[in-house]
Amino acid sequence: MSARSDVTRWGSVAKFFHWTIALLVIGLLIGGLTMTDMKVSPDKFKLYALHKSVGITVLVLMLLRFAWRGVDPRPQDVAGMAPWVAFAAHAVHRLLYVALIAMPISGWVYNSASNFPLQWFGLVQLPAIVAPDKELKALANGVHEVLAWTIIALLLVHVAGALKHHLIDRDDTLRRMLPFAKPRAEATLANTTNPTTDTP
Amino acid sequence: MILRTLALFALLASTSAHAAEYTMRAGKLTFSGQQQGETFEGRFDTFTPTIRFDASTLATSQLDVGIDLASADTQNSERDDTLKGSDFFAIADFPKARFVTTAMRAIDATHFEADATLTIRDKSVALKFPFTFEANADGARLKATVTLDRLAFDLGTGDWADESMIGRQVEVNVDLSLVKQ
Repeated sequence: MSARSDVTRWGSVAKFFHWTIALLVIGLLIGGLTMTDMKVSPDKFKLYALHKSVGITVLVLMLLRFAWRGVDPRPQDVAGMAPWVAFAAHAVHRLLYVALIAMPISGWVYNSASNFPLQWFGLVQLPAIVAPDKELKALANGVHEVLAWTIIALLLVHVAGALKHHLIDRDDTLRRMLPFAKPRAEATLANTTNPTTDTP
Repeated sequence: MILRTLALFALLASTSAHAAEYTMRAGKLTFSGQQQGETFEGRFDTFTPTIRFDASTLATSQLDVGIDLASADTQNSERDDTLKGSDFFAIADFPKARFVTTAMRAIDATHFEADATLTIRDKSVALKFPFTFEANADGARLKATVTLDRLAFDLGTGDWADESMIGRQVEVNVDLSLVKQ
């Protein structure tokens, strides 16, 4: 597997960004929705500290991913996509990019406006990006929460689209992003050239 | 005989004289602690010092300060709510802290040390309180820094006792501008 993407599939770097960020974001969404309802306790503070550390990690990964997308070619859409479907898919991708960068920034603003410390896994001290401010805190909190539900909605559409490609259209859209899967064409070719494999 | 009587009177007058009283013109009562490895600053907006002080009659000098714990402000509402809640100050049950000196010693012309008792919640702890007291045109300036062990006052016991979450030592700074009565 090449580090760089080509016309038909994603490279390993793009896959790394996609799946690492996917796992972290799902964890952040579940953790974020859980911890806000917790009674104040040391565990709550620890969970918040972890949430912030992972959120900062996502911000850094998203910025690196964005930079990588600038130099890495993007595979072409699979053949036969309706123009409106392709448009919708790309719109969801762009909105996810924007939301996943805006999300940690809104959290950082919320944290700074609340006058909480910010450390990355207790190793790196990060500065406040705004001064303590009650009104800005309430605003950033609202933005952070709306973005959470926006990201959940976008993820559902994104996953539904990927599953439709895979199960209904039976094309390579999902396969070419999976870490170890081969495109269907190559998999079929491998099967036909391998005499020990049963072929339909 | 007359001279001796006068001398005796003078002696009595000087030993029984009360130290001068001061009122606060402006003052800062601040504290700093550690939360998750980072220092935070806080202050008490409401406290009432009663101060009698004279470097020459330390036996009758006393600092007596009531501190309204609900006025604690660390510029973070979640932290402030926790601080005032039942696990820390428990202001519903113990709204005030009190600091009273019981004895004083001079170290030099402006540096002094008091034995004091600080009561927070239902815990009274004896502590040494070093301070400076510098007279100026119409009063004086009193400054002190003292480090307290929050656990000695049952502030954040149980799960909160973890020092990596909340540091055990809390530094308290006093800076009072006083007017002589």
